[in-house]
Amino acid sequence: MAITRDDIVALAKAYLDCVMVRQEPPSEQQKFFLHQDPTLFLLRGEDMTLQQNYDLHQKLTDEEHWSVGWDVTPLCDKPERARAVGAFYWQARVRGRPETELIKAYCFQDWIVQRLPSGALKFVVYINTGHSFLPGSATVDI
Amino acid sequence: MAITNEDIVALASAFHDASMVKKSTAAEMAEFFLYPESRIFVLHGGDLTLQANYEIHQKLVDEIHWTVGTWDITPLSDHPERARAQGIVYWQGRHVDQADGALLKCYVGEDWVVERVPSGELKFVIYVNSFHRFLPDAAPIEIR
Repeated sequence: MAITRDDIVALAKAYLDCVMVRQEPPSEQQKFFLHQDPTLFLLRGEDMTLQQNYDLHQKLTDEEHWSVGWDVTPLCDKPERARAVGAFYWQARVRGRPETELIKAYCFQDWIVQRLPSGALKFVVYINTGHSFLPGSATVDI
Repeated sequence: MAITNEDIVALASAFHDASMVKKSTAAEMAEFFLYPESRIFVLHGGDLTLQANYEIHQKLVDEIHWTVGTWDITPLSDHPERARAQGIVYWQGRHVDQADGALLKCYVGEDWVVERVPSGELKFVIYVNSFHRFLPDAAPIEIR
């Protein structure tokens, strides 16, 4: 069963809902990853543990996200893996700041994912290759 | 101080000397990495802990390696100083229980993100093997 763009959009939505919307703890985020205690690699530094990612999102509210586009490259069949390069739009507000002060950014991603025998997709490598804040965006220190 | 091709060749030589020639332990290999519990991600499956990498090389002797051509180096950031290095390493070895056996001969695709730490040393942030291409007459080995 090939890993499709729809699979990646669904994975992105499920993971980002977990992180941003439900703001779930690291143990819940961990369920999306193949290996224990993964690192979220930020290509230009400031890599994060799942705990640090959780702590970051605890400072935020009114978070929204959606996929902008993905290129999916099959890598192998056993295990079934693909590389997904794409972006999602991210919007949020720092808690306590005015409703007009929204963070608005495109977040560029480079993921390796693997399908398990159960059919579930898991992140093998999670790289955030960059953030591009839109004009007029509020600032946040990632 | 920019991260150069010479830096990456030296890092590749030092790490592969450690893993292949000196048969360093997982703890010793971890010193080359920014994070202690690092993995070698093998894109086509079978990611390796450093312990698993150690165990593979325990089964091999007469290992040699060298960088093929030049590395493609893309500067990523200054604070911290990071670069992506993509290149190829030739790897040759022999199964330890087949002293006169065929040689394992392989081109290994490397795709690394490295960071210069304040001491000046380069450390692996992400270590990906993007492919293994065994030569036609190479002895087989399973990378697991």
